[in-house]
Amino acid sequence: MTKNVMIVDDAAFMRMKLKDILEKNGYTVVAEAQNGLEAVEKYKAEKPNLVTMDITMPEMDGVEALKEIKAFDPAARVVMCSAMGQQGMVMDAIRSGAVDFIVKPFDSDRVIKALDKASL
Amino acid sequence: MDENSKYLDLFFEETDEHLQSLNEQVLELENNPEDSSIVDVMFRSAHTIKGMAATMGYDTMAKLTHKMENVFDLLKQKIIPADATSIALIFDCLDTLSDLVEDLREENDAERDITNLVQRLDHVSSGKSALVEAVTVEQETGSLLNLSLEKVEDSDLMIIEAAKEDGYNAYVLAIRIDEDSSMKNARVYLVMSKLEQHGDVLYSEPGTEALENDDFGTIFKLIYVSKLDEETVLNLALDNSEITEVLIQTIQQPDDLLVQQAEKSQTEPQAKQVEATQATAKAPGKAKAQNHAMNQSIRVDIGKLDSFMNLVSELVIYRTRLEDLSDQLLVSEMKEPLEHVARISSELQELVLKIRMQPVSTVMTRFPRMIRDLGNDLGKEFNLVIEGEDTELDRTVVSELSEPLVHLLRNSADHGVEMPEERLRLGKNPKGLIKITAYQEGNRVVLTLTDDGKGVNPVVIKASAERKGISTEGMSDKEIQQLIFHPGFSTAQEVTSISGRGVGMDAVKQKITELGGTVELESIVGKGTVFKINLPLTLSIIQSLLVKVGQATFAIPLGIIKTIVKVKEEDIIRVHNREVYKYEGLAVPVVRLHKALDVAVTEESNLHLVLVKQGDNYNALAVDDLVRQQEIVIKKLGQELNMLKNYLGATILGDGSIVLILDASAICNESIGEYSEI
Repeated sequence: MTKNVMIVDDAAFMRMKLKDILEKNGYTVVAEAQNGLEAVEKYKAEKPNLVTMDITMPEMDGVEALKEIKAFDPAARVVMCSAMGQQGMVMDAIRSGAVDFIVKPFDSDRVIKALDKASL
Repeated sequence: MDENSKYLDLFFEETDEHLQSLNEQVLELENNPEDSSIVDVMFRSAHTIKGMAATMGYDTMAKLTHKMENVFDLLKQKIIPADATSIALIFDCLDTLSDLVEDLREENDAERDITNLVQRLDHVSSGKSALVEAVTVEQETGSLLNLSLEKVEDSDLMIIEAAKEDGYNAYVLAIRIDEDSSMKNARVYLVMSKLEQHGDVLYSEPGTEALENDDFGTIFKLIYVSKLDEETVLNLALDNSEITEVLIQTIQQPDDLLVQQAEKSQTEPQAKQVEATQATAKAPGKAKAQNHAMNQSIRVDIGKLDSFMNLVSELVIYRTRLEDLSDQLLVSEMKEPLEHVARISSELQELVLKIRMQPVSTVMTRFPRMIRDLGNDLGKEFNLVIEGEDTELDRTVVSELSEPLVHLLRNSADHGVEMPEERLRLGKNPKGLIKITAYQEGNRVVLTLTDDGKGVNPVVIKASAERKGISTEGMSDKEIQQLIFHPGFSTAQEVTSISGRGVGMDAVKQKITELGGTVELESIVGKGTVFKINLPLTLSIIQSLLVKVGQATFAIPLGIIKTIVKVKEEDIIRVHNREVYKYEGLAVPVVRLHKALDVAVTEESNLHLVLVKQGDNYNALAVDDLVRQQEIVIKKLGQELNMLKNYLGATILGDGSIVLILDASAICNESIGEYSEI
């Protein structure tokens, strides 16, 4: 399975870091989005195999974006990125079909493990 | 400050509580290193602090507590022993945590360096755990499946039975989540939702609520029915992030679950019982504290309580006013409702007083830790006994009490108790006894602090007092011993190093006096010292006796009054330049209030003596008439009237008049002073 990923995060720094981790581990980052709206649009355009989705973002938050992406493509594989203390949002996201979540600050190993499992 | 600032108070309050509890638990653990239930409590406290700190964005705190949790986990599993090294490390961590909290409280942004501690913690957890990892896994593996059947009910079994008949398989799963994982609850949810796509989870341990609230360790267990075979289910569960280990067992005979459960429950209660009796034997206070926790309670800002108190006080004043008016106007219809108002307002008053009460244990809980540390610093051993720690006092009194008590304790530990070798030589127990007792006596509370050390030597005190220019003429040994409270005495540093006592003792006395209390010392050389502190239960509403002195009315707190006698002028006799009254064989010094308070004398006088108790002594206050007994609300005199030493405060009577409340001890002391100068 090809490993085309879209990174969604409002912080450029986080996108850079994630991209770095992913590309070192054989993933291809095909798109980046900095808010939920952009994420939904780019998902439709690029159809990545995998999405990493930040939760708190302007315009449209990650959980909303996840719901829209799942509505468009029920098979979409979205891994949520959450900060500590966002249990509620994470649970929401899982109920809405997120396959997994990773917790900031990112630990490269964990990110890769989660994505490897999610892309199986 | 960010949006979190509104949670700050709560954060500090709860963190303080947990730190306190941690300190207590570690002390317990030091005494019972084998009791893993203590570690459980420690673990929970550390976990809560970690959660709170992380949420508030206090990374250093979160990091430190996280590392501590790791070590607690190892302690719990008995991989590392609760020996002196680990206890010392935990105490160091707790101290640093307290420092961190203080920094935050004072908005001091200076970063504290915790690398050293973190390294030590890491060293403990990585070094030791790697060595015995193989063992642990096995231990845990064993415990996983045994433990998985704690609360299975008959109804669960019936469902399993039914499912099996329909061709489903039933499994017991034990799943371990990576201990570093944050949001374990979400991990659980992921596993569950994956499993539930192919079957049903019938039972979970801990219960769903605990799982959702992240209120569990790293392991959870399920009973799961599905048509999938064992291996597929195992992979389904394993196929989740941050799941480190999954055990699965097919349930052949549902009844087996019950059998195992029974076996387990046979062995466990015994163990628990032993634990329980130990706990009650060793820490009767703790059981009580847990009971407290069971009570429902809310936190209230003390400011609100204070204004509640003030409002009730005003109510009492106007109630009295109304009663006076009703008496004057003779409106009989008002009598009954007024009586109700009186009853209700006194109940209200009692209630608000009770609400403001706090057990003295609030200040005493940190003493065991303090004494332990002092012992280590001084190379002495102490046996600290605290009795009556649930005695209650008004909150303001309790919170002010900490400082003087700490002072006295330090003194006892530092200067009172001798070095172990010295004690052995004297035939004493090498462990010095320091005992604090608290009990209620009428509407006062008595605290005593006893040590069995070398005592206060009047000869030494006398010598150093004279060097300090304090006259000791004609003083008894007991009076000389009290000199350690003399301000001129205690500020002298070089004297204290000889006398062994006296550092800031005047500060102690001053504080206690400010609280309306007294402190006395009783000491026998070579045997030990007792400090006796006598405090009022509350500071604001008191029962009083209104008396006339000349034309003026004054109030005397009822609590200190021993008795009142009607006397004739000739009953008061003069002995050695002093007026005394013979009461039950005692010569009680008489204080003429009109003289002491500088009030003009009136012709007619219905002379009474009010005998007041002051420590162990009595004084007789001569008054011109008695008015009545009345509840009064103490209002502090303003700063401008600070120099008026003879009054505790003032109160407003029902008729609107203002009455001064006499400070009997100040008046008597002054009067005695005058006489002794003559």
